[in-house]
Amino acid sequence: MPAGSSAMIDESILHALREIVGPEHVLTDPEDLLLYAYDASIHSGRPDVVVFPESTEQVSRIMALAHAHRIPVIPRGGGTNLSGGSVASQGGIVLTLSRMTKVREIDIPNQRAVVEAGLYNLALQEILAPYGYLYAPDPASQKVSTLGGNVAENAGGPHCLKYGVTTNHVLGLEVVLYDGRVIQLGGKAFDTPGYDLVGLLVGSEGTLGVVTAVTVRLLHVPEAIKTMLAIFDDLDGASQAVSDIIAAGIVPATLEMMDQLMMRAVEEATHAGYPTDAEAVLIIELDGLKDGMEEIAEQIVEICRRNRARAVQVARSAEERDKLWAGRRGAFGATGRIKPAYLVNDGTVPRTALPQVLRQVREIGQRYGLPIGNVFHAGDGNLHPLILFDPREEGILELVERAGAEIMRICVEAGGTITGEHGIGLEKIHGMPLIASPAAIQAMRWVKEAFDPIDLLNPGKVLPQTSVGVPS
Amino acid sequence: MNPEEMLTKLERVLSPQQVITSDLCSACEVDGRRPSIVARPQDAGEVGELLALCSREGWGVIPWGSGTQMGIGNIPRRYDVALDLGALDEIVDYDAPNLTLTAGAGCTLRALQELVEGKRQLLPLDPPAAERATLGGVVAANAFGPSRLRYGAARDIVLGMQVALANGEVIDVGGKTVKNVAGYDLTRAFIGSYGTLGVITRVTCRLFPMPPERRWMLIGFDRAGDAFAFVQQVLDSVLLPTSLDLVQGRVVPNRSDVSLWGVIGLEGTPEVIQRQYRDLSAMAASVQARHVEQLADEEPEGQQIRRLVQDMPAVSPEPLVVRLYVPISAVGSLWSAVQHLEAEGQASLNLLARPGLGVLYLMAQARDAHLSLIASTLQSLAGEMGGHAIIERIPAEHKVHLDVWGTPRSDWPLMQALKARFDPAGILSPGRFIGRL
Repeated sequence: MPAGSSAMIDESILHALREIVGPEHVLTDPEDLLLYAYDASIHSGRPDVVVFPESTEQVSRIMALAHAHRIPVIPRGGGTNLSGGSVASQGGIVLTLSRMTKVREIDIPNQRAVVEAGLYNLALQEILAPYGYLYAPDPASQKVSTLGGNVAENAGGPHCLKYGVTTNHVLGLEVVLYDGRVIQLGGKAFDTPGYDLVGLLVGSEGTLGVVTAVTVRLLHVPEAIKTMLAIFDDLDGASQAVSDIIAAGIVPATLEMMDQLMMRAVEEATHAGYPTDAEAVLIIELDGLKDGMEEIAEQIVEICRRNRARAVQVARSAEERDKLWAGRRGAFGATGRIKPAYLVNDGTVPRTALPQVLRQVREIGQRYGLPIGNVFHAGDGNLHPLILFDPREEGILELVERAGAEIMRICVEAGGTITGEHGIGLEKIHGMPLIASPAAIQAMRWVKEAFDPIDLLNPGKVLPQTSVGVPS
Repeated sequence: MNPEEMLTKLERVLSPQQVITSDLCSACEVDGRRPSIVARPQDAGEVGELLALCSREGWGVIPWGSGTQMGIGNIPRRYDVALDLGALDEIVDYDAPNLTLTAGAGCTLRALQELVEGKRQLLPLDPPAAERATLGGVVAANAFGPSRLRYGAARDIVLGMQVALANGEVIDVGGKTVKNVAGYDLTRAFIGSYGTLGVITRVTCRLFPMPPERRWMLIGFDRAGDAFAFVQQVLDSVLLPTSLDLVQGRVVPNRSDVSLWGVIGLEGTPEVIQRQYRDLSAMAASVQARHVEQLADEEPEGQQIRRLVQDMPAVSPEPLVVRLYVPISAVGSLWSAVQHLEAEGQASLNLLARPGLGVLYLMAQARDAHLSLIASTLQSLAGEMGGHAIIERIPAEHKVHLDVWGTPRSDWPLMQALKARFDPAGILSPGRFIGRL
């Protein structure tokens, strides 16, 4: 019997699930299941049932039940995954954590917060703001992506250039294991003795355990912020400016790039004030103490000018800054005005390779006849080429996937990797051998076996040709 | 197994001049155990072959850098081969424009830092005994120093590595970009694994621009309470000192007239340093601090202060060294609590606090018979305060009944499962890690 075929979930299991979470929190209608068959990627897979637990104890009981009956479980947060990691490709139970949104503790003296996995990233920021604190990782999806999902993907965001990614800000996890056991990893203090299991869980895409609560590190809201928009008539100048700024010893909080195609889409959608006639812009933000910030800003302006920037504008008010960011954060969605679907690549390269890789990406788009827009974290070399397409066109998906695979390859050839923050999921599983040798993939499999020896959690993701399987 | 027999087998893997059986083995003692052989492979491939041989033969093997962290760990269950990684000292890729450095595990931190300083860059790892410490050793031990407050530890700075596994395979994990989520983050698993999961042969680090200026600030306090009130103000502020250490007054040469010294590292543009100096001085005044002074990093006195706070846990002569971790706001209470040991006449103490990290080092002189009791008391104390304690140094006989890592927690079965898969023959630093893994 194939893993997760609906035949595994009979009425008695549905009954048990309803007992655990209450009947109103179990979905089995075909229309409902269809809604949960998707995430933000181009992949889909229909679950057999969707459950919404509200406590760690309920999650534990669901896992124990799934374990007893060998039913795959796919943990899910906001469903914003961009690599197919949260779709039920083999059926089974979709375990949605959206009801687990409690803030267990805001501990300002210790600069920590303990929150449940279903809380939205932005909701946490809003709770922290009155205290003058923030949680640094800020994925563009923060309005609708959950802390648990951020942990599963090791999410980044524009401000990760200066502050690091999720793994640098998560100190503890409450995790439900494949058999229902609940364990605590790490905590408020640093360096819990033993292996860094928090480090392994972060970015494991829901394949090692169900994260139910997260202990995060809080940082002060910086005293001063300066946001600049540098406008370029050629892409090369913009990408060279990125390298030059870093080489000058400046570490801005963000260094984002957007090309013309993306600006046009964004402007139509949000009127953020981007110059649609320019080839590219950089959104550069400085933060920290106000002292000396002006001089650094001037240095940046000078570097941009040297690289043929047409103009460098400074946001004059918080509103102007918010508008620029709203446009940037809404960029993926705005592409809907050009084509109804996109495949977003996530390759990351050493930043000096940006000019060359961007040229190659453009060339790939021309060769396949596919429009490709770029909006990305240039400072960390994390590209997001969006290949835009209409899935109703016959044979287009295959073309798109081939173009995507080529982009992955050029990123690896440039000394980079196939994914910086969106994860392997299903989409890039065939790309894994590009960056990991068979022995390295085997070592990753040992990790999977140590945490989930019967491959119950999010099966078929991350690792190609998993040798462990659900015993029939 | 007798050394002659081992030698014959080893020489099929390594050339004879890379295998030592003589008295030099005494230099590689761990907790009083001496290996039969010291092996010095020339590259990662040889490390792999050596590990595969050890796995087949069941020989216990302990990787060595320069030995600065070797006191940390339980007594080895078995110790046949000391694996000297000193020959892996190649600079593989110094990519200055991209701020990354890939180097062999045997490179000394000092050599790498001098290299990158030539291009006005910084490899901000400052563990104790950094003069001798090797890159691989620092990463394997997740060793850190004062500047972790600003730059993080190896866990935050290391982007990728090459590792030889117990089965002989050599794998690359991570990469050279800051963002990388391709597969499980094995890099994090090897950092701080103390040579029990694999042998790190090469490391890729993130570098930082060298700050335009660095200075040290010394603040004298009459009472511990004042010092921690000051620290709380600093941590609650928008200021970003690079480091923030507290030591007892008597340890700073020629300046022993206060109860505690705060040693603060500042860096950045002159404007940023002066602003912080001004604000910190005001905070110090608000708690009636007695003495505020600024030292340039280049001055001999600045260097002396830097070395004092960085090296103290390694160079202090006491037989017991414990590193305690608690949530950051509890460091003040922990400082007072441990002083009862001294007040009750059980021990004389030397303390070093890094309050922004929630870390307190305690170095104790006491009657030998009392050391275990003091160590386990400290482990319970840290546990009660929401943290834990690692016994960094204690005479080996005390380790027979004491796990230097503390009591294993609910996550231990997972660690055991990982160890069983990565090292099925149990040859990598056997018995040394938590729960005697």
